[in-house]
Amino acid sequence: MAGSAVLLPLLLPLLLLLSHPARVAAGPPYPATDPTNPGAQLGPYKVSMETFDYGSGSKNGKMDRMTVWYPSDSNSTEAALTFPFISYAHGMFGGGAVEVCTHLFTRTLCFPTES
Amino acid sequence: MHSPIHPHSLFPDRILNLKTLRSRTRAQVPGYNDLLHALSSFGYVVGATHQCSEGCFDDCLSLKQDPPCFGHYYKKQLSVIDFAREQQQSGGDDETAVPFKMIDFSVGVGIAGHSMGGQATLFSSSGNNASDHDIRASVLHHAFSHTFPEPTVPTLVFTGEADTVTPPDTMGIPMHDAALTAGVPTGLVDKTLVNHHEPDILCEDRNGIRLLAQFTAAWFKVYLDLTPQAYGFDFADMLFGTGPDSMCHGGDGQMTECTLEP
Repeated sequence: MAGSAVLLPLLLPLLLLLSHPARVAAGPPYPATDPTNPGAQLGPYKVSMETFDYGSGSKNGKMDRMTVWYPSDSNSTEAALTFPFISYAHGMFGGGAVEVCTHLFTRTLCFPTES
Repeated sequence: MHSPIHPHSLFPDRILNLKTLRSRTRAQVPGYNDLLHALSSFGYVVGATHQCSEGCFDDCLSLKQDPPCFGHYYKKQLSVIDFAREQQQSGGDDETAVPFKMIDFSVGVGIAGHSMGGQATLFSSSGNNASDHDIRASVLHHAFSHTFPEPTVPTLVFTGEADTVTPPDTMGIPMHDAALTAGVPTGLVDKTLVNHHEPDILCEDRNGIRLLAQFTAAWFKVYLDLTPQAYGFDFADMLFGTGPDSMCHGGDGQMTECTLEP
C-alpha cells in the first residue's frame, strides 16, 4: 500500500494527460448544471455491482471483464423478482482514462484496493 | 494466460471457475457507474463489457473515418448477452451467479451505448443482430458513426448541441433518420447545453447523468418491459406527455429539438 501511495501521485497526472484530448474535443466548458433541469428521479431499488472475469480468449486478457449492476434489495419477499437485461457498451477509453492504466501497468498497480 | 475455449461455447471454462475468477472492485468501467447505477435502480440488470477500450484489436475491423478497430465492437456487446444467458443456464446454485439468475429473458433484451459504444448499439440493433439475440429496444447516447444502418427495434437517440465529437447534424440526426426510414418507434433528443460526455465521468452534472438514466429507463419500460406504468411512475407520460416534467417539455432541460415518433 505504501508503494501505491507513492505511485498514485505519479499516475494521476498521466491519467489527466490521457483524458486531455477528450476534454479538448468536448469544446467549451460544460456548465456544471443545466439551470432548467428538474431533479432527477431514481428507481425504487438499491443497486449492487459485481465485476466478472469471462476470459473470452482475446489477446488482451486484462480487458476480458464485465461489470454488472443489479437490483439488490434484501427484502426476502422480493428475492424471487426478476428483471430485464441491458447490455451497455462504453465509449472509447471506457469513459475515462483509468482503463488505459491497465494497458500500461499491472492491474495491482492500477487498482491497489482490489481484493 | 487464457483458458482453452470449448468448441461449442463462446466462452472457456469460466463458468466452473467463476467464483475464483470474480473480482470485487468499484474501479471498473469507471466512467459510467453513476449512469448505470441509476439505470439499474429502475429494475434492470445492466452488464457492461470492458473490452475494446481503445479498440477491438483481437478482432479488428476499421471503418472509414472511424477510430481504428471498432467495427466489430458490437460483437462484444452481443457476447455479453450470450454470457449472461450462459451464466443463468449453467451457473447452478453458485452464489456468484446471482445477478444472472435474476434476469428475465422472456421480455427480450435491451441495449444501449455511448459514443463508439453507441455505434456498437446501432449495429447490434440492425440487420439480424436484434432478432438473433432477442433485442427489443435500444438507446443511443451520443453515438459516433459514419455508417447508419436501419435499426429493427425501437431506438431513442440522445445528442447535444455542444457535442463536437458526435455532432447532431452529422451523426445523431442521420441515426434518427435511419430509424424513421425503418419505420420503428424512435425519438431524437437534442439538448441545447449538453456535450459529448453527458453519460460519463467527464460530465460535471451528476443530476444530468441521472436524468439521462431516468429517460433511458422510461424508453425501456415502454418498449422492453411493456410496463409503461410501474413503481408509481408513469414512464409513458415521462416520454410522450406534454407536462413540464416530460422529456421534451422541460423534464430533461433545454432542447434544441426533441421529437418522438412512437
